[in-house]
Amino acid sequence: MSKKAAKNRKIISPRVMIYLVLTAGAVTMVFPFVWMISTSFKSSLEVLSARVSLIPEAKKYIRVEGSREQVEFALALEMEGEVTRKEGDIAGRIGGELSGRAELQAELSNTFSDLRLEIEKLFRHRPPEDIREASARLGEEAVRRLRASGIPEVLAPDSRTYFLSRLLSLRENLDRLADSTPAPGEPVAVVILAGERRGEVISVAPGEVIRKRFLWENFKKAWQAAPFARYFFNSILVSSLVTIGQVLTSALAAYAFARMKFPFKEPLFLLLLATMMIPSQVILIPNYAIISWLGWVNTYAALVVPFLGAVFGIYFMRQHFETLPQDLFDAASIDGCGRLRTLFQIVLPISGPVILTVSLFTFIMIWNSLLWPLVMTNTPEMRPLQVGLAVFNQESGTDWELLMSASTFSILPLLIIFFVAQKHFVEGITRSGMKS
Amino acid sequence: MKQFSRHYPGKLVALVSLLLILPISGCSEGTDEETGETITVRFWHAMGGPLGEVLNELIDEFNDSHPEIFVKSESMGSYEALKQKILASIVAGNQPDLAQAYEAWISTLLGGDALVDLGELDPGFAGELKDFFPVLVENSLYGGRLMSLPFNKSVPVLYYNKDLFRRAGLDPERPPRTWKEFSDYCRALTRDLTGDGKPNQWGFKFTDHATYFECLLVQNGGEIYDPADGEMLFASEEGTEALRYLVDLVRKDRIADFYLSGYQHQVDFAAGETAMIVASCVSRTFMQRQLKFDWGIAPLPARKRRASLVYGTNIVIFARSSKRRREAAWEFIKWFTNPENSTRWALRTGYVPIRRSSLDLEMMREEFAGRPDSRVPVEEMEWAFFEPRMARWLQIREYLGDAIKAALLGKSPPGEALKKAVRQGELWLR
Amino acid sequence: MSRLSKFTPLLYILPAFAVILVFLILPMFYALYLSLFRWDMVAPSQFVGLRNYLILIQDAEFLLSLLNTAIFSLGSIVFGLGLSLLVAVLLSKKIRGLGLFRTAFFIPYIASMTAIAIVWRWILQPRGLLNLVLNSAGSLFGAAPGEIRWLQQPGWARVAIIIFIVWKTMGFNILIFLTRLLDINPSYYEAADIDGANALAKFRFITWPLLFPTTLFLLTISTIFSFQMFIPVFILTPDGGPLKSTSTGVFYLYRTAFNNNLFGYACAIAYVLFFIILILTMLQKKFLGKKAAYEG
Repeated sequence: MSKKAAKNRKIISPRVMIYLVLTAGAVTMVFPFVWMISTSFKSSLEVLSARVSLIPEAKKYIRVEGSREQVEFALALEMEGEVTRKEGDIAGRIGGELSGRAELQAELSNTFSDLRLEIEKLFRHRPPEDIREASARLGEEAVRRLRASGIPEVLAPDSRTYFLSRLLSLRENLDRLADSTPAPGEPVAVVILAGERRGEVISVAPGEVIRKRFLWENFKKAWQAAPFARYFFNSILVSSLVTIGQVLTSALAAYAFARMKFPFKEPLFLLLLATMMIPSQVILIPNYAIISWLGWVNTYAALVVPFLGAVFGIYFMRQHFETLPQDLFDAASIDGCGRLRTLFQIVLPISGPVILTVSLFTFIMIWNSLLWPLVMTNTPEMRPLQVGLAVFNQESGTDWELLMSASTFSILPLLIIFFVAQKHFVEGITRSGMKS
Repeated sequence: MKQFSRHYPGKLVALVSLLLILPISGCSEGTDEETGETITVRFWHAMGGPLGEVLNELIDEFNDSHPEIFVKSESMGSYEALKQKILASIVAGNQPDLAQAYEAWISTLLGGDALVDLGELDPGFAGELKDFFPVLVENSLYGGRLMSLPFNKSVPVLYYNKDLFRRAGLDPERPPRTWKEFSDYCRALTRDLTGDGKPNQWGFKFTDHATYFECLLVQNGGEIYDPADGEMLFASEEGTEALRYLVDLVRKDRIADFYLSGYQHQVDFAAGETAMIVASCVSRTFMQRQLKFDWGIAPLPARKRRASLVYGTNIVIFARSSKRRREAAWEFIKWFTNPENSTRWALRTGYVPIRRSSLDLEMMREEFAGRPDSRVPVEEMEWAFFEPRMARWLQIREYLGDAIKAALLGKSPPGEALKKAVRQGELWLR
Repeated sequence: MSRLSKFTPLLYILPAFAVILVFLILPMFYALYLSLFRWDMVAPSQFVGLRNYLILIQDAEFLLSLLNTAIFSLGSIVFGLGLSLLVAVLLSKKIRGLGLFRTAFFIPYIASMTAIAIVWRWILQPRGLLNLVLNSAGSLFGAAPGEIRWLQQPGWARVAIIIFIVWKTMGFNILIFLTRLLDINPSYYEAADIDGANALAKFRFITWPLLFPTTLFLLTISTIFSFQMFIPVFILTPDGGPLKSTSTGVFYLYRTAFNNNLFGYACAIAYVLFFIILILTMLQKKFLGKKAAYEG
């Protein structure tokens, strides 16, 4: 084959393809988290606007009566508004004559939206000093483009006159607006974008306009918008109690199954295994009835007690205990150690990894559970984090920046635990995967 | 807890007592607060935002003028949450003294004898009742017993953009009055301004399908159900016709559009993109602040007759409360629903007044004089009807809503969709 | 030591067993009992015998929820397991930065389902990230911009949920596959190379059969998991989705019990779901398990 073809084959080698695919996949996995964090730093206006960016924009704020309001340069808005108005006028009048001519329609709308974009960029990134000159040029450029677009040629005579006159008046208006750009150091006019004084135009000194990019206060706002401190406390308390309790009861039971003889040992263990088949939804309602009967609805008891014993831990620990050498136990009994002491003082200390794995999995399972605590609690004071989040989601429907902030600080703790205890995670999962 | 063991099928074994190891209780709100002279009465509701503020102001006023009673206002955030909390509280035995409740919830609660018969509590009130709008009284009578009083009722009305009417050559003071006029107006008001085949301006948009359909049904001479035996009648000819009318507006004539849920249609109306919408009369207070064009309110158009659904919650007293708290709660209800206060409540929120004598009050007449449109919701009370009140109704309403959506999306012919909803509902009514 | 009663060990298993008995075993039977009643927890319960089950068979919404569950199950198995296997195979080929990749793929699995579902609700908005990405990608190929209202249209809502589930659970599957793949003795592949086998043949005749028990295991787990799906629906489409197109079995159970106050009926639903999972798992074990034992 030719040299060029051979070279081409090397460039997209299988290895490179593999890395490309894997990287694309990894990015897809991670990007939603990045997006979540990015959104957390944005303002509510930014989030709902049509402009999207990964890095939050530099938003402008001024202090109005003690609070901080997001503003936009009035001149920028006026110019954008002018462009939009002209576009509407023109489209309304000649739109019908352009129907069927997709390229001309596209040219028309593209020119106007490009113009708007340029105006935005101008006012977002350039200091007021540069604006006057630059904005005049923008108007001229747009008009030149439209005259050269081919649109005038296809219009009926009076429509053409109308079109050209609109273009002229657009340029004149933009010129006039550009002339009113304040000189450097002069006060600028800003428009308040949200809140009670929305739409109000205020004159401020250039130094008064604060530019903020990352709104760290969103995290604080989200934290205070619902009793997250309490939610976290509940989750930590409940998950910890269950983990400790489950590890204890599982260790005791696993120890007995692994190293003791007693009547009904086999049938009881089979019973245990059988219960692994019971899906959680079957027992949800009857447990709700039982918990209600006990008067435990909306108490910690309802969230902790039913999980103090579980098959998973028993199964896992039993396997491990069975592999311990018999000598260990013989030595212990020669030393006069009772069975209970043997368990706590000898067996458990050397079972660190297993205990850690079971603890990790139990803690995370309880931490992440939603359905059970959702059913069992009905006041904010008793809700664990996941339920609190779900309720917050319902109540804050479109406060996306707050929702993302809340999700961020909710996910963070587990993420940190994961990075720290990665090995145990991976081990635990693969081991449980292999056994089944 | 004792009174509920009879409700639990099957007795649980004593094994359970083994587990009273961790009796850690969270905060529960069952403590009886009758300290000293002031009786605390807990009032659960779902009014938040500006409406909640008005409610709390009125409650504060009551508390100030009635030092021996303290009404504690607790907002549950949403009606769904309120319902779940009320029912959960019945189970747990710590229900409040007063609550907002939809009629269907009242039926459920009646099954457990959880509510106070207000007629028994205050037999003398029967005279007052005559002042309430008859439809609302009927709405509160269950088997002849007065189990509630109306709390926040509203009716759907037609909001329309007078500026868009003018531009379309329609008389802004003459909103459509019949179905035929309505479709004609929609046709005139739906325009494609950019020549791309898709309308930029719509004549009519809606969500809240079940409510709107029910109005159309009854306007067409149909009935939702037969009160005698509870049979669902909305799949009748009249119903099918009504739904087909709506579906044709959307799919055949393309002069109306809908959203599956939410408030986007109100947003579109405020943006001047839609000429007419149907929304609750309560929305007027929100609209007033937002709308930058000339607009008006009209009663819903009619066909064979005029009809408008009146919906909203009633207020109930729970039977578990002590005699003193029941009476204190009743004091509050009487105060809130008296002519003066109920009118103030209506004027500040946009809910309909619940008593005829409201119309004679000075403040009401001023309102009518200053804003003639405000007569419309009151007018609609003359031909108002309410939805079935059985416990299963909200479930059946879901089926109905889905049927309407299916028809609007073209997934099912109107008659079939309605019949399917009736069939699904019947599974539960026997 | 022989003095201790032979029943003492039972005390060791007692704490765990007591809890399991009262909150797992007992409720399982109690649910069966409850399913024979009509009960809203307010009024006294009414015995209705098998009526709830008879209604179930005719309940269009329940049958739809079964269909939805099956769709999600199939979608997440076909795409989820398929993609996971692909990635795992790629990762098994002596990749530099294996740990980094593995971590990246696993992170979604760690995040709590509730919190990350909220993030995806944002991503699935008409002007959200997903549409943004699709439009950008589409414009590279010259396609016109569009706006899929993911959570508002019955068909797309289902697709959205499947995308989310696959994204969330891939990490787990990849990990399991990868571990098994790395365990395979490389001499098998070397032998195949000598015989002149290409990549596809190596996969078909060596990798796939050896992987089969793992695949079966993940298949079973995925099936059970998809039948218990609740959180994605609850967060993304709290009303069950447009025309109830995303309402799953467990979601319908929750709504039936806590929105419609039909606790007896909900128990019947739970039992029917239970039996379906049981049968599916048994069928999987029976038909595919034999093959696994043979090949593995």
